[in-house]
Amino acid sequence: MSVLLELARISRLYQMGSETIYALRNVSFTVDRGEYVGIVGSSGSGKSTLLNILGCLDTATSGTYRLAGKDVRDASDDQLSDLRNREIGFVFQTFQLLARTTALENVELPLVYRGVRAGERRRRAREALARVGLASRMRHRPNELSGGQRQRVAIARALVTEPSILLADEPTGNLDSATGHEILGLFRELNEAGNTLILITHEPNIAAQCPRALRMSDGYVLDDGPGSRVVADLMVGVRF
Amino acid sequence: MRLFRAIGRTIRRVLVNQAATLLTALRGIATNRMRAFLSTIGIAIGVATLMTIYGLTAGLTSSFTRQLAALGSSTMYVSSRPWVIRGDWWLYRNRPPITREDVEALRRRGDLLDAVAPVANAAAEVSYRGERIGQVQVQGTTSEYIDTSTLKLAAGRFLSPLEGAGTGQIAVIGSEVAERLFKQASPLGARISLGPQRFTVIGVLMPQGKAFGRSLDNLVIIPIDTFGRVYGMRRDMAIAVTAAPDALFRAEDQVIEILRSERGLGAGDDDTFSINRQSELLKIFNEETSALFGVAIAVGLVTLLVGGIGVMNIMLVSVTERTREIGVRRALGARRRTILIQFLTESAVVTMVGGAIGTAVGMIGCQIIDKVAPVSAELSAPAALGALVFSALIGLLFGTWPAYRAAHLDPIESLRFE
Repeated sequence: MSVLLELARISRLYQMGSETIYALRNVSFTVDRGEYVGIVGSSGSGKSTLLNILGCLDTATSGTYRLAGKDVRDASDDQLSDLRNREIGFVFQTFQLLARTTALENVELPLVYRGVRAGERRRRAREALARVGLASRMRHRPNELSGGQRQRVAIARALVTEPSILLADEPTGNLDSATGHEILGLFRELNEAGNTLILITHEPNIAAQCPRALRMSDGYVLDDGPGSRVVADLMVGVRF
Repeated sequence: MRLFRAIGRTIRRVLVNQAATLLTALRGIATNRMRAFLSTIGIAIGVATLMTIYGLTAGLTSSFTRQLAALGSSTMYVSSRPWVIRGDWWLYRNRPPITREDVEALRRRGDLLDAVAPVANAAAEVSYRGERIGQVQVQGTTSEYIDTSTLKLAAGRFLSPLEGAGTGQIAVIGSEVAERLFKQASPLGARISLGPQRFTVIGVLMPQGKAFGRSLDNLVIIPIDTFGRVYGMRRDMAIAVTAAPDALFRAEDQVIEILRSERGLGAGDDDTFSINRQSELLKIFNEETSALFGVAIAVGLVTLLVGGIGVMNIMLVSVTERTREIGVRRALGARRRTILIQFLTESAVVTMVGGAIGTAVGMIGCQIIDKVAPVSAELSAPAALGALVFSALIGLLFGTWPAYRAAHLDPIESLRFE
């Protein structure tokens, strides 16, 4: 399998007054195309910072990050925007759909920023919504949809550009467990269809369902392996 | 070839973005209609003020130039006093009236002068078979008057040289007089009454329009001697003098020279007459009005400034409120420039709506002025279009700071914004 993203000794420092905070310390790992990786850790473990860097919303203080063969370190703001548009599909805990805007228009939005014509945009947005099982809800606005449906719209929006990678940040955090399971099921389907997924969560039992999981703590990646094994070790408190 | 394709792609991308950006902007405004409306009121008031002032200026200027055009650009008017007296008015008080002798002297000796015509003015009631018009301008003159003016005949003829000098009871009437006394019928040959006198109509003039709320067509022209017999010989009059445009200044010198010698003025004496010209009047008009309109326009601009600041304020609030939306858009791949353009478009649309409201109010204002006041006010389509463009520019100007702030929000912070 080909390498999709590669992190080498990535650190991210924040300066808070006179204090330096290490959000990430020497993080190195690679993800191949078609993988499904869970990143698990408690709040403050650095997983959000990692997500921001993976998603090209933020850049590392040191280390190299290569995404789809491109070195992200020296990218300009415009180049980062374009990388996000082409390579990344975001799924957020709070859905982050635009209010007063139909599901279809929400899904079309990333294509607008890519400069796709209106007709083509509509067609692709419909396809993406159909793929997440919302073909009948295209004209609804977010406030007319249930939480699970909203997250499906967000997933369709992330998929519509056919990105290299789907980045999901606590995608089930605002959902009841049954709906959460549906969404995780959808992720599995998408992964089986060839999509690369990275899922960030603080819940071990979600990470346990991932074929591969990274465990983070205090800015370090402490463990990397099959999800069930990483979580099992976490439960018994094994540390090296 | 590849370059062309790249350019084509860029243009398409920009166009796609523009259409979508406009829609986004409209939706942004639509979600907060009341606020957008309130914020644009300042702009509307400013634009309405400016448009009314502009309409008034345009109306005054065009009515003034119309009246001036009737005077003819190569025509001088010799009269005992200047048209516009500024300052020492008492200097002109004891000047003798212009007489027939002055006219004769100019006609005899003025070889640079193409036409010389005395013009005396009075007002009278004109009637025909029970139809009457209260106040009609009566002008006594000679045949040459038509060459010094821009008058044109619609029917019949003007005074002939013989009639002009004589005392015939004949008249050339303005189009308004013709319409009101005769309706559709031809006035030629009819006998109209001017006070107790009866006159035969020999000609009808083309309409000249209105100037300063007064019709230029409410007019009866009769021979100068007839005028003298009816209204008195000793009236002050003016002499209309025409010369070739390139000889105008030399002709003016000649007129001064002839009149000074005719009136026996010594080398040290001041002129006892004035030469008035259309261009001077225009100059004075421009001087007097520009200061006034300058102040009015300044008031309008200040209003617009205040309105613009209002819009800026609202846009800043809007940017803060929509921080998360901006974060989402950035995460989905919107560049800073795209966000900038989105908010600029929004503020330009808001101010343009204000401009449209202001233009509409200004147009109504101009029409009211036109109906109620003696001055005319007119708004042209280019002026209205200009107002729209101008108000859009105000939106761009005052939207710049909020849009810049929106574009430079940190995407990560924005996504977390509550």
